[in-house]
Amino acid sequence: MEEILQVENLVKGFGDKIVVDQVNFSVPRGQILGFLGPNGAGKTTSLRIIMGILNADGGKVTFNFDGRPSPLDKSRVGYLPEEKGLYEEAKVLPNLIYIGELKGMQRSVAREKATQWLERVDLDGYANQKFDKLSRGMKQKVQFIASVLHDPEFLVLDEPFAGLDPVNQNFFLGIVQELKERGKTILFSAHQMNLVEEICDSIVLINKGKQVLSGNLKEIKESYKEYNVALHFNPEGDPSFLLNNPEIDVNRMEPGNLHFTFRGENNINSLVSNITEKLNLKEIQIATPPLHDIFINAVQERGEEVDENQLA
Amino acid sequence: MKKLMKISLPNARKVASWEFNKGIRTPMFLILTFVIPLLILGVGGLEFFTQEILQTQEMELAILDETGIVAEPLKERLAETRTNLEIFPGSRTELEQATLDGDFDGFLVITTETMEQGNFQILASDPRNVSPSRIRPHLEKVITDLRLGGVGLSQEEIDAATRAISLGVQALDEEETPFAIAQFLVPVALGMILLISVIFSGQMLMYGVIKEKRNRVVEILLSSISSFELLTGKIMGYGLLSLLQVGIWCLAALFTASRFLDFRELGLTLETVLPPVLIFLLGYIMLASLFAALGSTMKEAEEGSQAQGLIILIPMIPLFLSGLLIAAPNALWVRIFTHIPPFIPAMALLRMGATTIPWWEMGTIILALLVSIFLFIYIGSRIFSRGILQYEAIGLKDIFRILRKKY
Repeated sequence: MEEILQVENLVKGFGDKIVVDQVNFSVPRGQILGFLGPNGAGKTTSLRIIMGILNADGGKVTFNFDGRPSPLDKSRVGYLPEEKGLYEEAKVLPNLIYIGELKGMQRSVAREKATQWLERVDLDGYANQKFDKLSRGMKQKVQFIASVLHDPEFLVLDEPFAGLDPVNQNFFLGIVQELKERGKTILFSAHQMNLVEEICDSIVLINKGKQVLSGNLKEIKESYKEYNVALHFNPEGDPSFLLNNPEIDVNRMEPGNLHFTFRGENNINSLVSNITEKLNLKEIQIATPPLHDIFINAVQERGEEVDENQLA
Repeated sequence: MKKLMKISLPNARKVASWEFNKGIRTPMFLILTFVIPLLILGVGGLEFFTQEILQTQEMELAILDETGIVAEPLKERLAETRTNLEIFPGSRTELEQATLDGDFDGFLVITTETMEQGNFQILASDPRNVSPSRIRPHLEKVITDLRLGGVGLSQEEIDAATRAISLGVQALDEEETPFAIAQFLVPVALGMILLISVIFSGQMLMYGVIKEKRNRVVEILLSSISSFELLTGKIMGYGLLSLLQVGIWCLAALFTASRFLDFRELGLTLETVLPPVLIFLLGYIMLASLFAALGSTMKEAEEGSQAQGLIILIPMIPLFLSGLLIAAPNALWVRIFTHIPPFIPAMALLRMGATTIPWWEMGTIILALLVSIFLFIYIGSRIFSRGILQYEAIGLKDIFRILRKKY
């Protein structure tokens, strides 16, 4: 698949501290790549380098808009920074028109598109309101519009869901998915891994500036060969055959209920067949491990530490 | 460097247009732009009004001439003025009483003794109602004529002896065009305006840069255009604002001055106006880019205000040395300082008022201005783009580190 962005051996330090250390990844066209990690992992710095706002100490960032390597064309990329802000004293619509113009749009087109987007996010009544009079959620919506107004083919969103209530989080998740369906390529960073894993095609996990894991999300999950299983069965059934299985770690057990993690080379299907034969099942839930757990495992396997307080 | 210098004029123009439209609505701009002209008009108008009052008020004077030779010629000279002089036929006591009764504002007694001593007094019931300056030149002329006539000179000889002289300066190769006041006035006035406008709009520009860093909008902007384009646009926008402001001030000043001056006498020509205006414009851009560069290093507006107080003094130094500078406008030290960035505009404008700067030197001054503008914007945009992620103020050490670092 054609890659719209390729990041090779990215290195960046501030003073003596290396905040991005040999990060490599690429973003296939038309996909959503989640750039995930705890707060302070180096995500924002990497995205700022990609957007040409910061310069890297080492490594290379290459775009590929027209089938050949090219430098960053800012008019074809939309960017939602982590630290959000527009002109506080200016009204919403002029703010958006100005940003649109800087992205190469005609003023009239920028006005038309901004009005459409404001309607789309239920802010059409606030077009002539000063930006600083809006609530935080509203500001975030306006800021989001500023990043997509010029209909970029590649979108870089830095922590787009941070600080949003669940309703607005779902709203933005929906818009991101919708943009993907329209053929846009999206790279976004987030620290709320469980929130965003549903929409990612591929992920890059980063911790303390170092890349921990990357690749197609489905393949990563499958490669982990780990499943969280929840059984609800007739309390007279005997689940002891499971307790003796070395590939199973029991998380919770009570009469008629058993929650365990299955890690093993053997196919889970044979385990499920065995369970259905021996227990009178009322309900069974099988889930791949959440991204959060995969991240923790990957970091621990590298012998490193992760600050779980910085993970949502 | 190439990456940084990549500039799209349309982008800079969009920034300029935004900054202009934003700035023109700020209360600070509106107050400064319209209150100052009102003050100019007010002060000018008041002066004009008081002069009109003084000139239109008639003064009633009487003269008691014991010599019999002063009253008539003085009355004749005052006939065309607003001072009515009546030759009093009675005694001094009667005249005093008439003055106290309000028939006259004051009276003058001419005796042989006062003629000899040249010491004349107007006696008035209220001295505030009498302006001796309205009588003095006429009385002086009459007395001088009488004294010279007394030594036997004819009226023609007296006129020849008392004819006023004038002293002017004329360039050898400009026989037809004598020194025009505009040659001095335009550059010096522009120098003053430059410094005043830089104080106001430079401050707005610096605050604008600091504020933009604080509300983080800069990250959005830099994801769309280069820092060089952004800073150039800001300087253009604030420059236009400043020109508009200065234009309004100048119009107000010219309107007020037109009451007192005949502009045709100033010798305003393209030749006298264009070079100082060019230095003014380039000088403004240079100082504005210096302020923008400074703003990019700061965190708080208060910090900007304090720093600006000090920085504004640097370009003003030539004004403090204007006496020395005008006395020797082509001295070596003056020529050197005319090419050192912060001093260029004020030095050049003051020198232009005091002498004719050779064309080749005008060329090097303009070149020095252009190079300084480029350097300040370049340094400012580097600090700006590198310093945006720094929450603290940027110190000298950081500036050198940013400038040293490969782009």
